[in-house]
Parts: sequence; structure tokens; C-alpha cells
Amino acid sequence: MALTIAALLARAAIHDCLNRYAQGVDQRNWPLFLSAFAPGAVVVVQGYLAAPITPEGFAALLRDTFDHNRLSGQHLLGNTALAVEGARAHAVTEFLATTLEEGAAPATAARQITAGLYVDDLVCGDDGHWRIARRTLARKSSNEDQLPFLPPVADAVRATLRAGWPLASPTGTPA
Amino acid sequence: MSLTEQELLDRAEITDALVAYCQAQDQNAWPLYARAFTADATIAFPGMGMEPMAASVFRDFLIRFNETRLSGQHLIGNSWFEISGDEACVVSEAIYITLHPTDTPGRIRRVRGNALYTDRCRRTAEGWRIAERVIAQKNVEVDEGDYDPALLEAIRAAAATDWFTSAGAGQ
Repeated sequence: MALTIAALLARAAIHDCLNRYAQGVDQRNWPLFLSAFAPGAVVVVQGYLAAPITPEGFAALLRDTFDHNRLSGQHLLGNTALAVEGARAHAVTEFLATTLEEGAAPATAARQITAGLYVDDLVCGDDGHWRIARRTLARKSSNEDQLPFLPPVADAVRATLRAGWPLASPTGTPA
Repeated sequence: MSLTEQELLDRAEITDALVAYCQAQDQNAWPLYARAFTADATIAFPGMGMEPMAASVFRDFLIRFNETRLSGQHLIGNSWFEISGDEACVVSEAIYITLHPTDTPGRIRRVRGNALYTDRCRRTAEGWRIAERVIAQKNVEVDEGDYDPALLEAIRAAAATDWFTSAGAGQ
């Protein structure tokens, strides 16, 4: 069936939702992260979490597990395959995550490159916003190595931790 | 000249075909492969030691190749579109990561690369499809590392899942 402009608008709104999650987790903007999810939503992480978890619980887990030595994160999304039926949608999206943490030795960083899938059931609310009702995270690969982490790169990366990156200010003025 | 609604729709349908190719080979979702290519489509691999072949022949090669592959991701971006009527030329960057077993249990070979997909697309009765694809390699790196058994089990389980139904995601 040929696409319509209405279908493109729905796709754009769904991509906004997927991006809210990625921007939220990478910039540690937890209200934005949580805005990607519908009430009652669950997150499933295969091979990592024994049971489905709430988005609030997942955000707390990410904060408590990683934030004490986290330097940066980027979850790049692509190749989304979408099936939209009325107010429901199913999306299969590739992610490529690159994260840096403080290394075990001084002036080093631990880099982790993880590839995987986000598989989402989404719903469109009465307000026209699409939200994730269920997200399954499936990893495809995950490799870690240690990098030299010296100025000026180290200073530039650490500066991103201090910036608030409010969406209204592309200059990154602290929130 | 500003874009038109029709050009936006054409771009979206062409992107669907490009994504169908990646999803098909990365998730072993082979019915999607037919939504990427015309029936008479060809693929060329300049400089890679492979002769150009029909897209259907390459699909059969990939099916056999993936029987031993643990996982794959071909992420595309930066697509540049030139659309003229029912024909289009699209150039897309691709970055890929694939995992492969070695003779040593738990030891995994990772292949990472960068490539360029140059596609001549055609509007058909079923929608836009790729009629000719040229895959050009920009970079390939291979390394090996040890994988935790639990992570390997999760990767194998994910590779065996049909992700295109809600039931498949309901684990």
C-alpha cells in the first residue's frame, strides 16, 4: 500500500519517541527518557535482567550502575522497520552504542561498543504523542577496550558531563 | 527547488527498501529481502573478488553465510537522493559489525567495516525497489575477543527470534 502524508507524520512522531529515549539516556535527561514511555510500560533486557522492569526502575538502574564513573554515551539509532496499525505500532530499530567510563588505570578510559536491537510496541495517546508500551533490548555484540585518555580530549569529554544540554539551547548552557 | 510532498513520499518508500535489505540480512528475515529488490536486480562488489550477481543469488549466499554467523548489524545513513520520475539514484553510507565463532569456545571474531551503497532504484507496482546496487568497501577491521557465555547465549537467542511480531518481542 502506498505511503500517505498522514503515515509520514506518524512515522516522524514515532521517531521523536525513539529519540527521546536515546537523548534521555545519553544526555542523562531522565524526564525526557521517561517521556518516551506510556503508563504501565515495561522494559525487557535479554540476558541482563531476569524479569521485565519499569522505565523508572530501568532509569534508576542505569544511574546507580553507571553514573559514578560514566564519561559519555551515544546510542545511535537507525534502520527502523515500522508497522503502524491505527493507534498501535511495532518498531524494530538497530542501535550502536559507544560509551566511555573511567579506566582502571590513571589517564585511561574504558570504551564499550555495543550493537543491538530495540524492539518496541508503541501506542498513540489521545494527545497525539506516540509512546513505548513495551521495549525489548537485544544485544548483538559488545566489546570493551582500554584507551589512553589524556587532555585535551579528556577535558572535552568531561566538559560534556557538566553541560545540561537543555533542548531549548543548542549551545549547551547549563540547566 | 523546494521539496514536494510526493518527493518526501518517494524518499520514504525508497528508504523502506534500503532498510528492508539491512533488516533481512541482519535479522535473517528473508521475506523482507523481496521488498528491497526488483525481481531482476543485480549487485556488484568492485574490488572484492566477487563477480556481479543477481540479488536473488546473493540472498542465497547470505542465507548460507549466516548459518555460522552469530550476529550482524548494517547501519545505514546519510542517504543522498536524486529522483527523476520513476527512477532514482541513492547513495548511502553503511557501518557494519558482524560476529563469528572461532575454533576456540568463547573466542569470537568481530568484523567491523564501512561501506558505500550506491543504488539505482525503480518505481514498481509494489513500490520503490532497488534495481542495481554497487557495494564499495571503505574499511574493514577484524579482531578477536573472549565473550561471556551468558552474553553469547543472549546473542544466539536474539538471532533466532522473529522480531517482526509482537509475540517475538514478548520474552
